[in-house]
Amino acid sequence: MTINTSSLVGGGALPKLAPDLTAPTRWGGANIREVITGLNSGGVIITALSITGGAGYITQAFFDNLTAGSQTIKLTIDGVIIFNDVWTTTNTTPALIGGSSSGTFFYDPVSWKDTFLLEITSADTAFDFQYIYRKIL
Amino acid sequence: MNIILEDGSFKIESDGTLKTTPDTIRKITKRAFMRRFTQAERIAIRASSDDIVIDIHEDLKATNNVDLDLEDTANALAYLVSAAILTSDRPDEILADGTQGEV
Repeated sequence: MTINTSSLVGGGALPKLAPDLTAPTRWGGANIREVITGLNSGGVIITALSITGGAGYITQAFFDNLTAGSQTIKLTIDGVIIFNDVWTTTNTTPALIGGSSSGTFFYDPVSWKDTFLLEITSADTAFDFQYIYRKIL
Repeated sequence: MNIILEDGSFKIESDGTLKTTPDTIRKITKRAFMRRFTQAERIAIRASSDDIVIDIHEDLKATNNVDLDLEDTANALAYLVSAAILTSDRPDEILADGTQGEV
């Protein structure tokens, strides 16, 4: 059986990565990640990251300064809840997405067509989130 | 919810805040630079009869902005220390990164 790649993603042109003209400087060193600070859950579900409007993928994501313990992770891709359960973290920088370490929760990158929504419920009231994201055109 | 990025139809949001690292400011206005000296230090510079101190002062008066990374700036401050106008800890304080209010 032959699958024409032009038939994927609704047909037409092949999907391609959005240009990143700042890549040479941006991809070197610690600036590679976007950093979200000041997340405050305190036992209430909050949005760590919401991306809407088109396709993309996240190759790496982790929480930072998060007190180890039971966190409830709710991951919704294109409107479908693909995970909503307890994640027991054992350090303050637990890896959520991306196979950079053996303890990563979702080892593979996460991609979506229209929307990405990551929510967390934690007892912690002051933690951060870091991620690497690329848009797909 | 805070908007992290809004790019056409694309929107990235979070209940947290995107951490941004402002560019380091190393050029400040002459007035801002002079305000980094204490009043006693400014008076001592103006009152000095030392030709080099006078030259530093005149050079400063002729400029609009001060480059805190310029070697001449560091040398001038070092001379003011040797002339006993500044104490040895003052150059580092005076050469600290600028703020938005100083540009």
